[in-house]
Amino acid sequence: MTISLAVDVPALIALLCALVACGTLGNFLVLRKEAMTGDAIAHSVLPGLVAGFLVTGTRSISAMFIGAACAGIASILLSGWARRATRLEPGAPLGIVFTGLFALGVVLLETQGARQVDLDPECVLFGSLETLFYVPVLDAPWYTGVPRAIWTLGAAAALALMFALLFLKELSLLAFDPSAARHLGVAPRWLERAFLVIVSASIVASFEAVGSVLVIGILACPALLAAPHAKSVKGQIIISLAAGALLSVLGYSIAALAPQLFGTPTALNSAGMIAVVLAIAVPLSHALRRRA
Amino acid sequence: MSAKPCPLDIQNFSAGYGNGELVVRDASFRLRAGAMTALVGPNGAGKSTLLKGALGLLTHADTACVRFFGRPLEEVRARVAYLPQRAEIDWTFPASALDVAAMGLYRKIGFFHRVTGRWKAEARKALALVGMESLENMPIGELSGGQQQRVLLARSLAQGADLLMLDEPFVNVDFATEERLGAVLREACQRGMSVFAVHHDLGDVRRYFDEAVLFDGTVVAHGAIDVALADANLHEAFRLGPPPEEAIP
Repeated sequence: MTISLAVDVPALIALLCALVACGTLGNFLVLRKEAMTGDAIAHSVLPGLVAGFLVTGTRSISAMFIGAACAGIASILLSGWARRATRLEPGAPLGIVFTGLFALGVVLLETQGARQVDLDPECVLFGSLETLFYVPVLDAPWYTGVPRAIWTLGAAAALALMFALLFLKELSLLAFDPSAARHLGVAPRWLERAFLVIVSASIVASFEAVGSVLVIGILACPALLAAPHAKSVKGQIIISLAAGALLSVLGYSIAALAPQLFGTPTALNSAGMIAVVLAIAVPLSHALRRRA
Repeated sequence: MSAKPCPLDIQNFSAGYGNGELVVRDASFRLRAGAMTALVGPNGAGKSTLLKGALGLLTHADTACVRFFGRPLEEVRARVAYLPQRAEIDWTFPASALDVAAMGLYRKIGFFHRVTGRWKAEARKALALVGMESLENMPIGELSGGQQQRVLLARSLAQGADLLMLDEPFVNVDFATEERLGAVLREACQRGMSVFAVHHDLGDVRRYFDEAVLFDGTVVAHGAIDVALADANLHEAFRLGPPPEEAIP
């Protein structure tokens, strides 16, 4: 397999940025037993995407991004309110809110003349890794040819990593003993909200390039496979990102090589294959720990 | 010499959850400084709700009626430590005993600062006070129930708390561990700390505590153990009807 600068490198960079953006904060979601939150946000962005189109009349990335981010944040606030108001177990309000918002998205799509939005289901599910080409422009700096998605994902990855490093001890205590964290005043409400807003931003930024299936996968799987081997939160983050990166490259390579090996002309979807590899790695990692 | 300020003064305090139903109604009592006080009552009486509500951990709690050391909680937060029920803590969390003890220092360390060697030394001292210094590098998930409770206690000591509020600290620990924990809490009291703990076992309240608050949604009785847990009060709190001698005409 030869690596193409124009095709493979942009896809791999986008993939690794999405992994850092979602996988870093995914560790805290898993430690808080809230891995479902990522799933909920990934589903809740649909009405935001449609609303972004309806308000601006265009499919511009800024309109889509703002709409999706607002919907993601709304889903978190609504589920938080539902949890406080009903005393249901934590996952239940999330389930109610994200199915409700996803249904609202479908209704908006069908009834508000937004069908021409061209929200390709395949693109929503599996992203567009295969279409991220590096196209150098003559007489222009090298970076002008870098796909826009990479800049967005790079910014999201830097934001997520910086946030995790700055508030590592506060987010750790919040996951370990939320009552003590709140009582001590080390995890004020703004920090919890900022965390969820940045999780939403990471999901929305990754959505276009890697699709909803892999977004959910990279939020939870790297953290889940690192958990049995980690002795500290920082260690868990490092193991999850390293293992996630290796498995992502492995999945990408299988998607590229498997059709050639089996002599079939059809290519495999990279994001889908990476999600499968990550999902298989989680139980294997736990089995490995039990044997050790 | 001025008297020690009351560690916890609750007057006409009510608290509940989002559905509007009050679990704690019109509760009033004052803890004695330097004493170990048990909060005793039937299951579902609202003992945990009282603790959490007083600490401002519930959205529906009238915290204006609560004073710690004569001040609102916000002004003396660092002097009050809270140990929740064991089930509320994730014991599979990737942290060592030293990491958990150091969590009590996070407020002092402040935002954007790391837990450096100086802070680790302080956490180590707190672990030594509860006899856990030799297990500082042990993952918390591999410690016994009693050792885990002692590590949490070390976290409170590292915090520099003067009032320790515990929710069922003796649940799911064996007799020897219970004795050890009781002794550690007693030592903490001798160093000037006050202890207020939810306790479910009426049989051994006297063994560990100096005073008791008998609670059934509101305060039924409060004072020295023999006074607070007198038969008539227990019958009222546990809704057993009048004591036998009163029942016979």
